[in-house]
Amino acid sequence: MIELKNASKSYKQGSREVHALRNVSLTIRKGEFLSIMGPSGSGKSTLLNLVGGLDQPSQGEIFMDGKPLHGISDDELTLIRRRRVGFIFQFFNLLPILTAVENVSLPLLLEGTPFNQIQPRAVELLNQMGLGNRVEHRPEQLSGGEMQRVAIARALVTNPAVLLADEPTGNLDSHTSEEIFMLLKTLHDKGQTIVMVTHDPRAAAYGSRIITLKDGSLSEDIAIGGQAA
Amino acid sequence: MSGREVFEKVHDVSMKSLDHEIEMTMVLFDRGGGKRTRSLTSYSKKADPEAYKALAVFNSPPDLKNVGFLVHAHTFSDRDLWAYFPEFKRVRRIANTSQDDSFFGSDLSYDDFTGPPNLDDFKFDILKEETVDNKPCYVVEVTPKTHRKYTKYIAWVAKDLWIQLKIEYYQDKEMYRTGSFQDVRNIDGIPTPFHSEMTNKKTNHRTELTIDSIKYHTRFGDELFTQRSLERAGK
Amino acid sequence: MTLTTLLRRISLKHIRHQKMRTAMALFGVALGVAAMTSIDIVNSSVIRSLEDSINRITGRAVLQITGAESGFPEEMLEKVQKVPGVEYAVPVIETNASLATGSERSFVVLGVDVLQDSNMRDYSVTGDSSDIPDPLLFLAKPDSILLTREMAQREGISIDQKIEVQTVQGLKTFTVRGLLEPDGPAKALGGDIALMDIYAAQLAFGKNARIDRIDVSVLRGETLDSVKTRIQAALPSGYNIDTPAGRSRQIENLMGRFRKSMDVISFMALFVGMYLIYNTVSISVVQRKKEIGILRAIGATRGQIIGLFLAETVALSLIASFLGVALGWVLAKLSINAVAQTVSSMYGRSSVTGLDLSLASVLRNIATGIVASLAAAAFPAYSSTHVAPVSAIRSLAYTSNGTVLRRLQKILALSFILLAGIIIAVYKTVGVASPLRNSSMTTLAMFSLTLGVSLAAPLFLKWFIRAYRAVLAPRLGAGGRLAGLNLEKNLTRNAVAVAAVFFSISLSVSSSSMMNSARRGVMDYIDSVDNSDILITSGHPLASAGAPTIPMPLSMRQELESIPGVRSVDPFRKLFINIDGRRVLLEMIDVVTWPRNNTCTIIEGAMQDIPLIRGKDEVTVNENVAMRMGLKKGSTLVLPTPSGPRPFRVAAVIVSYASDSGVIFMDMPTYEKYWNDHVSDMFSIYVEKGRDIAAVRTAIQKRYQGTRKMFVLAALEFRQEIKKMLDRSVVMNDAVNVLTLLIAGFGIIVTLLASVLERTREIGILRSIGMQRRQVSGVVLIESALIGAAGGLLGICAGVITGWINLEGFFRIDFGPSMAYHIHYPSIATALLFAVGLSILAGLYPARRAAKTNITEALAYE
Repeated sequence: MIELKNASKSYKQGSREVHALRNVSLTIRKGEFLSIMGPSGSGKSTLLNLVGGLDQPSQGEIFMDGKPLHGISDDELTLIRRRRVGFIFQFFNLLPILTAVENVSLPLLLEGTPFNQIQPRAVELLNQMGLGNRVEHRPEQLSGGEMQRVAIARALVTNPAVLLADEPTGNLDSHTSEEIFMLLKTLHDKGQTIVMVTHDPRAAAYGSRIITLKDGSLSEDIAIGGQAA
Repeated sequence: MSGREVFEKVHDVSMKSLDHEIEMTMVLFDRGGGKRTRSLTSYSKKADPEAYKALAVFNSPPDLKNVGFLVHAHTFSDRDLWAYFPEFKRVRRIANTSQDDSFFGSDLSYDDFTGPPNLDDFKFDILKEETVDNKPCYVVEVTPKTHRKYTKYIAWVAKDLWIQLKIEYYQDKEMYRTGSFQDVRNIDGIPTPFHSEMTNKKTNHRTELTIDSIKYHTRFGDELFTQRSLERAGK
Repeated sequence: MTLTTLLRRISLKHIRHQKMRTAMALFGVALGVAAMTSIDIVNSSVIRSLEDSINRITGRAVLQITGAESGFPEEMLEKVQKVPGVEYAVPVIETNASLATGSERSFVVLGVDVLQDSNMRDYSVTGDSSDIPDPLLFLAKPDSILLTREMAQREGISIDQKIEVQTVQGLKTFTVRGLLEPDGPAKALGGDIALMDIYAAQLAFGKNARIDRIDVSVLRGETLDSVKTRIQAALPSGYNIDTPAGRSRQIENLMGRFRKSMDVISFMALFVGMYLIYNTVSISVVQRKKEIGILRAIGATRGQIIGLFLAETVALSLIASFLGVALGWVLAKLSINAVAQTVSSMYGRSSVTGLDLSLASVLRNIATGIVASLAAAAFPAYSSTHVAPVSAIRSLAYTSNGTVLRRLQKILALSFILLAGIIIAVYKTVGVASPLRNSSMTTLAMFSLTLGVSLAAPLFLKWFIRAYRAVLAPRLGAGGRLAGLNLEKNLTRNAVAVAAVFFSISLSVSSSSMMNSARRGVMDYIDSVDNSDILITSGHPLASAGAPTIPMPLSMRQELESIPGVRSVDPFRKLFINIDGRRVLLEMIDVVTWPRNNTCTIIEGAMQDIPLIRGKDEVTVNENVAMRMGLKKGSTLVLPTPSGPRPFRVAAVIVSYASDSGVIFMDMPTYEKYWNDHVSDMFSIYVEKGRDIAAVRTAIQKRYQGTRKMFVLAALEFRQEIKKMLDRSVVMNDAVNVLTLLIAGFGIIVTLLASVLERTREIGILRSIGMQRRQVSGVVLIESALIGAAGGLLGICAGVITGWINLEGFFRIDFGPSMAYHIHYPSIATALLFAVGLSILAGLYPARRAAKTNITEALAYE
């Protein structure tokens, strides 16, 4: 469902040209739980940004469901992010001034749906995340794990085609991390396509497929349970 | 007898009294109890059948001494009025538009001051008969045919004297001005009230008029009633 | 709508959370709208009340006949009364008088024919309502006067009381014969009106068998124009027949001038409001960069983000505008009396009874507030689009298309400055009379310059920091270096603070330079023109022409000259005349004696020419008149005289600042001949050498004691009075300056606070490696001082230029090109000191905050 063909990304840092990603070709299938691994600066996040439509490749092509993500306008890309992609960030990136339910509703609010139509779904998602009693809390009143679960609920509210997670437990203790991974696993079991960036091999092991990046290139592609790309 | 006939008789008496020289005292009482006394001499002359001329000059108080008024009545409803103020040394014409207004702060109207009205301008109805000061009277309701400050007045006319002894002015239902005429003496065959009183019910202002001396059938010449003689009288 | 839901969910919460900043922006816009609204209210209320007073005084008159300033023979009345179509024609004397004791209040005396005037105006002299105990006495005595009940109560005057009144004929005693109820004319001018019989008024005011005006009503079925033509034919030439509406239009024209200067103030207030909005939105965009990133990441389009900020601005400015209207009402209420007084002293009597606020003006001002706010927010809101969605994610280099924006900003800045430059160049080359010089051009130049420099602020700051690093930073140690770096890192945001300082300093420097120039010009003029030792006026010495003064008979000149010690006496008469709809001051002097004691700067002609116009049909004009009417020495100028238009030759063009609407000088005998007016508004007295001025002054006072009330002033005092008056006019400017400086200070606080909060981690690191609290706050203070200095320098440069534009574009047009530009150096020095001082003061709080940073929390954070 997502296909990268010789995708490269480079940017300028001062006078230096940095090649974050070099000629990566990759196909992510529907229903996959893909873990992306690699050392710092290997291009993991850059790859995730391209897959999620946060950024566009300097060279090469990228398709989601056969439609290109490269060479399209910012607004088109934004609509794809809004409707097809769900993001989970290391630092949760909730808006501190909004309550849990408002944060979850945000993507649909951007779509123009009235809040009272979104609210039941947002509350239901929060219930599923075990946050039924935290609906009207603000981020600062929540623990790290709770914040990340709000973020997951926000990512799911649009029924995205793909869920992208960037070091989702990087800021959480190991017990809470375990819970988050279990949550992601459950979602995957229900058929959710997930792409997760992590540098923790134990975390990566929750996925159905692990790729490893090194210096911006694909160095390893392992399918867990026998399948490989 | 009809109301009109009553007032024709009243008019006849008024006409007879037109040739005269009167000295009188006028006292104005204001609502606060203040009192102003003025004395004046009035000369009058019957002119053609339906008109007259009159000249009045103040003798006191000193502030008003020699202030004079001159009336030329062409008909009894059309008259010219001039005033003379000695300190300005000029005769001023007074517009003929406000015949019902107070005559310079007194409770007399310009009309009261300037002679008998024109009967054709009014409608007369006898209401009843009553006695006033032991004199039998017709009580006549007089309604103006043109727009006036009052809507009607009621006059008590003494039956044998043919003069008004009492008068009440109305604005619709409300009586606002009354007059009474007392101490009626017969002077040269003309019944003359020596003391009269006009009261404004609205302002509680009252004016008393007392005749100090009176002469009838004076037959003054026309030269007395000119603007020049008004100026001369003021000197 | 997406935006409304989003707005409710996000923006309104921000507005609520950022109370202080929101409140400031709110206040700024509210202030702008309030200024506009109050000016609208005051303006229309003053006009309305003037019109109302005129209507009350004119009554049912549809035509008014006027002749010479000093009145015309009353025989004209009869001629007019006989004109077919005229219903009533009544005589009027209208003159100013003032109480000689007590409040010395001045009032208008209306002399009418009380026996006929009820045809024209509503009051009943002999009716029941008014309190006139003895109307006969009123008419019989020449000292009779009626006051309004209002005035009598205010002054504690009762019926039959004698009052002393200052008139043209000197002090007069009148007897109050009665009081008028507030109805008809008695309700005009706030009750400052007295009624006399016309003949008594003629005696009291020396109008021998003359009247000032004939009020005419017209028979039904007659047209105004045909009656007017017939009257014109019946009268000799030189009479004006005007409709009362024409008179109120004149007043509106007068108010237009006043309004122009008020509009500048409201424009500045609005500009300040816009600056606050710009500042607020800019900071908001910077502070909410993360939020913008998140929103962008989860699918908010650029348009939605811009819309968000603009919608916030609309919400804010809507509230602010409504507040502004309310505040404007309050301001109007507070200022209306002062304004009415100013207007009275400048243009004639007025008394404002009610405030007049039209819905149209409310809507217009609210709309202006919103549009101005949106315009101010547009640029920073647009800059939000250069926050890339990836900035929500850690560890990625900050990619932005800021270069494009910066290029756009540079282009805009340059074009605005260029536009201002072109206008300046045009002003430098064309003459003062050129139609290219007008108020909108001038406003455009000042606006462009300010906007251009504001946009160029980041660029300037960059240079400034470079210079700072080269010159000063090495001496300030690590703190100095860090401060420079910090400023450079967030150039855009810091530039906003710099621009705020620039704006306020520029405003204060330009206005003080302009005021200084105007002041110097006027003072130089006064010093050079008037060398007299003593001045005598019967009205207030500072009342200008057209103000309610009570002139003195010219014959007083001989009386004054006979007083021992007096060497010479010069009479002055001033009145405004209408030339082709333009109000011009006509000033009468004795052209023979005046030049003996005075000099003036001659533009065309020679000083010796002036006495030669004695008694001739010649005048001298000031630059302003010469320019506007295209006159040169030898040209002919047609003046409206009471006996019709008459040509006068221009003998010389001179410098005079006596009026901002132009001055024409005429010889007194010429004036007496054509105007048949023999009074003087002022006498200036020259004392014999060696005589004690004070003693002569006392002798003059003694000579007129009890017969005439007048101001006998030593000329020195007079000049000081003028100086004081000029100083007072600066106060308003100072108030605006202080306000903008405060706003600039606030801008610095917000900016530095934001940058301190953002640098929490960095400060934590610095602290952890051993930086002292004092050093941390030192860095912040150096930053704020640098912002202040940069803004101050920029402001001084721009201010000097703006002041020049202002002088060229507004003042010189009114006063003539010989007015020179004097930069006010002390104000520049104070401005710079103020800018840096205030900036440091503003930096104190952020510095404290920075110093208090908790090391472990800071390092743990993010």
